[in-house]
Amino acid sequence: MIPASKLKRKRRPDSALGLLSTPSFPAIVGTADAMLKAAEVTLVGYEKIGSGLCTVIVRGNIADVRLAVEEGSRLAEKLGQTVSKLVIARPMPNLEAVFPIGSHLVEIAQQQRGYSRLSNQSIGLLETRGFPAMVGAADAMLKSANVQLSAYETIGAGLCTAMVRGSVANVAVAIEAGMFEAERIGELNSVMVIPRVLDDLEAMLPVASCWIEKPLPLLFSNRVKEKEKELVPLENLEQLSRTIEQEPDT
Amino acid sequence: MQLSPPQPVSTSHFCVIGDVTIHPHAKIASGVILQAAPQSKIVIASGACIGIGAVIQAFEGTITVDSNAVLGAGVLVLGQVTIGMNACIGDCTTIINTDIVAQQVIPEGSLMGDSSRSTLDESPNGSPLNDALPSNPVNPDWPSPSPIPSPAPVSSPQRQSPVIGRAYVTQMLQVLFARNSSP
Repeated sequence: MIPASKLKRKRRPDSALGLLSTPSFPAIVGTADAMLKAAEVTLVGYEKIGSGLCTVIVRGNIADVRLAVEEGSRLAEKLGQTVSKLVIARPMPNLEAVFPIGSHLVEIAQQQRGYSRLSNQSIGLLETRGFPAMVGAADAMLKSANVQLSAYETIGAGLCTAMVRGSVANVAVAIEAGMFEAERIGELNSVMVIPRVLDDLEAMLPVASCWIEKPLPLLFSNRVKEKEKELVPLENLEQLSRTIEQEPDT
Repeated sequence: MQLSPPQPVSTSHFCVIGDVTIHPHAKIASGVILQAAPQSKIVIASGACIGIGAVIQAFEGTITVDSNAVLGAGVLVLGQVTIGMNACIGDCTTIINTDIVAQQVIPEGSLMGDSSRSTLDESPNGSPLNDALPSNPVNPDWPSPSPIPSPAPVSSPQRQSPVIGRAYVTQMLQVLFARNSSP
């Protein structure tokens, strides 16, 4: 179990804001992973606006945010995605009040969630256009390697993503099997494998409720009270007389 | 495989029927039949060589033999075919409705472009998409220098846009499992 002190993130004042948007969920998780590993930024979350568009939101120092967004967009372009990106050095407070871009959201999300039994494993994401293709691919993935299906996510435009967790070799083989099955059944849109998932990314990934363990409160029927001991006054020791018996010298 | 040369129709000249254009510097052997159906034509470019007893029949298209191509004896060319420059077609080869890439060498006795029969002595191909390609030479031992493009449509439906991240995952699989060919 992760101790509560570790779950609470030390909150730095929000300075710069970085946004990166791609039309596919595995691609956005991959770019978020690249961004987190490129510089010290805080991942605030994903914003899904429908029609398959997802945006990843990061906060941090301006230099870190610039590096992260640059690295993320490089990966996205390598994946063949045209992205829209944004870096604001000092966003106005009004923005933070309205848009979901503040890093305080990270703490709130974590408090609500609890601990996932599948955390800190490699993750594979497979996105299809169409639900049957995703279910068939998920079944093929589970039958092909030692992986667990952790969650699924829909982002609109018919795109749904299945996520599997396990060791990296198992996940890679599972994704390969899932790719063939998805193409056979329907339309495969996107795949991604992330060998090492950082804590920040882990906290922001969707997890099905069956994997989450919340610490249960200990139940006591009554508070156990200790019986108070009665105090007895001691005798005045100075008043006591005591005869000292002389021992015979031998 | 030793194939006996075919007996030509005529020993002195070759037969031309229909819209056939032969460049003055092309060389046609005796006994060759060049027949273009109505609405079709045959174009023989300069320097091309057509071997003895060859039959070139254009049907619903144009047969083009580009410059310096060599067709061996007894070659049969049907339908719409483009034989690229400097290509070399072996004796007794049949080419049906398929293009030959420039500078390609086809062994004798080959069958190109015919998808009506399956060749059982083919070496098995790993990718499932290869089954859809109709043009495969009968002789699997001969190393073909380049893949032959087929104008016939591939039977498996092609995606319009590539799968995002497939190359990334395939490369990772290659690294993990030390594969030489991607699946």
